[in-house]
Amino acid sequence: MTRHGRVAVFAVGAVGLAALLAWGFGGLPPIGEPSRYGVELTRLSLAARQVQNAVSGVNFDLRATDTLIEELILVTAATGVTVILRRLRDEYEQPVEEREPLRPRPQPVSEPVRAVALGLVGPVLVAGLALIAHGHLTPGGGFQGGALVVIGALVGVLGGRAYLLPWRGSVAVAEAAEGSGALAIMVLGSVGVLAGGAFLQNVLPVGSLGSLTSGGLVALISLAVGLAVTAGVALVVRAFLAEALAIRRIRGEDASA
Amino acid sequence: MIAVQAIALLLVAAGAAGVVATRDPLCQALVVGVYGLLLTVLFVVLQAPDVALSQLFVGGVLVPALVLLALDKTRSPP
Repeated sequence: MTRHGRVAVFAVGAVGLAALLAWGFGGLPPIGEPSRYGVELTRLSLAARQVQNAVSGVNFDLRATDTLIEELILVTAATGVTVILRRLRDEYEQPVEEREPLRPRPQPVSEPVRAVALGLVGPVLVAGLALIAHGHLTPGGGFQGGALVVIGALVGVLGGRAYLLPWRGSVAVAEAAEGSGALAIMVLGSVGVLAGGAFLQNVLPVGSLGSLTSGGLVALISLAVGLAVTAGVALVVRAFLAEALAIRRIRGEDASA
Repeated sequence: MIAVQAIALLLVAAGAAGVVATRDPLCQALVVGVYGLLLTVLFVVLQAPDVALSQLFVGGVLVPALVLLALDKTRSPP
């Protein structure tokens, strides 16, 4: 296609997109003013479900089916990464003691950086777990908390502790944990069916607003999502880390040594 | 508040342009991390703390980290 042809096709698409966006934005409420939908969702979360964080009320209760499908997407994505980055026949994974802690290229990790990174591991892990546990009360939840837990481990690796990169056997544990998290959402959802309601209906006692035991299903699904996301993101990050730190080609050894 | 929102939006627009204009993938991994932080600020300003947290962790840390690791793998001897 000639340059003029490409520009013409782009122009048609751009004009169409601009028109659609203008039409769509025109129908939005002004920034800062919640729509009727938003007001109603907040009222439902606070009054009917005793969920202080209305966003989690939406994610883990009012549209919990979407969240379940999102977890299945994450499982699929992590499986895909694991398959693509699997150890090939001509590759081997260096045992921990042979690994260089983030190869000194171009410069070794400086002591202050390592000290700060290692000092951050504990607080970051605790913050991640707190986010998972308080999804129904404060901003955050299973997804954000799960990601933060993995970041805590990643910071430890950046601090030069390559042995924090989990051993190969832990991959099976993480895969089981990821599947268990997604399965737990389905089990929790079927409670609603057994109670005579709908799948993922919040039939558990909702407690009182602001307490740790409030929200019924919301807090439990946040925990299940936390498990699935922690394991899923850990699998993906672990696969990338292993490729960079530990997977070496068997034939290439002599050439690089 | 409108002024703060406008500034945050402009910073995000500038950051996005910066990501596209950066040619070296290594620099781009860092620029995209900064862009993730700018988006986080925007979401906080727009009073969406849940989304801001997701953006901070995924856009600010995990995506740049995965890009860096991928670059390290492709640029190192096999």
